[in-house]
Amino acid sequence: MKKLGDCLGYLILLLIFLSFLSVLINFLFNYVSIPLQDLLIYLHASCFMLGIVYAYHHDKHVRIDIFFQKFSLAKQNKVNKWGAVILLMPFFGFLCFISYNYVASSWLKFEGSAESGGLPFIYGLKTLMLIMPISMLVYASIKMFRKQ
Amino acid sequence: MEAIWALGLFVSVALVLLLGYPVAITLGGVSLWFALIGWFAGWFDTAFLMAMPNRVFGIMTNVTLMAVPVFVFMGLVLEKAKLAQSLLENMAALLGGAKGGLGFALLIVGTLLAASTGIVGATVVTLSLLALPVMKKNGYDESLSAGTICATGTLGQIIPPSIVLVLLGDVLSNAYQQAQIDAGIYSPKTVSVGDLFAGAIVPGLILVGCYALYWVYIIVVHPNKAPATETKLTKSMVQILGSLLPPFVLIVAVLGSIISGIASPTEAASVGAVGALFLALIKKQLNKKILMEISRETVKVTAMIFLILIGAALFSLVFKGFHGDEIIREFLIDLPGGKMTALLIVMLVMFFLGFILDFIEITFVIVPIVGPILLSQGFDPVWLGIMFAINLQTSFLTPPFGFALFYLKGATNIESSKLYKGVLPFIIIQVLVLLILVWQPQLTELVKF
Repeated sequence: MKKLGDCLGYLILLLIFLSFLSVLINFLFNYVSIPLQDLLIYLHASCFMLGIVYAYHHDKHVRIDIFFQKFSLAKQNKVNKWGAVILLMPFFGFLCFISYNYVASSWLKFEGSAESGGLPFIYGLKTLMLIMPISMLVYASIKMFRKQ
Repeated sequence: MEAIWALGLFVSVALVLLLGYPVAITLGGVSLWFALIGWFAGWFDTAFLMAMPNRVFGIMTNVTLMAVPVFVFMGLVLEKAKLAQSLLENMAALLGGAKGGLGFALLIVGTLLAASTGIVGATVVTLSLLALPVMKKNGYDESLSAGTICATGTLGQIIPPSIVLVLLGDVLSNAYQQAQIDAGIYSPKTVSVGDLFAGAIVPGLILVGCYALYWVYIIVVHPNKAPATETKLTKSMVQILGSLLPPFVLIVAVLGSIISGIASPTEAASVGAVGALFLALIKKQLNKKILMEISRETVKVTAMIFLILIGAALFSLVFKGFHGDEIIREFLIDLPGGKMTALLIVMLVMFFLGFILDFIEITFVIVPIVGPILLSQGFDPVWLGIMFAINLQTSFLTPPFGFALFYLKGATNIESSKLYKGVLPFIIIQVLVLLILVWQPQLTELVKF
């Protein structure tokens, strides 16, 4: 998990510097690079889609903790455990299930960019829609088995 | 019957949220269960769910929202650069000699921080740790100081460039287009984040101006609450003004390039982020370890925000599947008193939801539902967005559940009653400014390019 965090951290830095670079190029040469714009979108989407499991690992997904923070540790664990079974697993399972055809059909035609000159890896980008829920399902299951 | 399903979905989500499981997953999970049960009962058409992959992909490729991680990064860099600390010290040295001077120093620094970092929790905590002890030591009234910290700390919501306005801008532009298409206008006008930033400048300054007027009132009527302090000017005037300049230039550069249309919000934010890094380097507050810490933190915050978006997308699909949006539309349109009553009800609902939900959830869950309805009744989208933002800021200040109050209490050990007494005048100011905006809506149109 630490490695994932570092990788995504580098991606964020890259996102910021490349988008700064694109401003510079636009300002100096009055030129907008479509592949660069696409790359920024890809970087950004990868950062947060892969970051979701990383944020979950660090318990960074915001909670409404008016009552939660006053619960005993045992009760908090209970909320987390049942939440994972009743809410997390079905939700991410559903995302996986519903996205499968969507992603598969994109792979079958090796879907390129809608804009001319854009990066031709839409199918790769869409694959994140499967990786994200699967990463959450795997991580949540591992966490649950370890606890028992 | 459908009204019961839609209402039941809403109430169930709210109740389950109170248990404290992560908001995004709760939103998605509970909505999914409702869709399933509704499907078995024959009340829900699963075709609505088929739109989900497209929604998720839309979120992934949304160019406006790309500004979010960059703004978060910029705010974190400025926070780690200990900008607040040096600003506050310098301003206190400059103004502390006058009656109420520390209060004005706090107002100025709070406003600058709000504009540059825009992270509410962090601003309130930083200001309360830095300013509250100094003000107390110098005989300032504790309630008054705490109230001012909460109010200025939450200004980050409204004073641009703010992340709240970026998110609201995205949601409102969709709502605005939908409202126009519903009305049969097929070449709809658009509203951008830049429009919202431009519109927020004057109302934001009016808010700060009213806070300052309140401090003037305190100095005149209760001078013992805000005494002059003995300060030693250890630094020259030039040095002090020099320390104020960089954050100010940063804000002007970021805002100016967005509003004038030179740069997209993401691009402007990246200029701001590089500028902030530069500032931190000069102040020698940056090394590789801190930089990595900041970018990992940025990943976490961004992922958190976007997962809420994904959860809220499923919620809104299911809510629509139960015709919840039509039910709310019928309710809001048939009200006596017309569109102002509708607005008042929406504002009150948002205000109370602000006690349990953060601005992100409210923006993604509530605004997409009520936004198109209010906009189709003829409200201006920029004006409406700014009303929403000030309303939410007020909600975060209001006892007993306001977020800002929790942050301040967490950082210091002030008594609740003193804190509540301190924020009360500021809540009244907020409501007054909202009323001023209703009375003079063109205030949001003064800055335009």
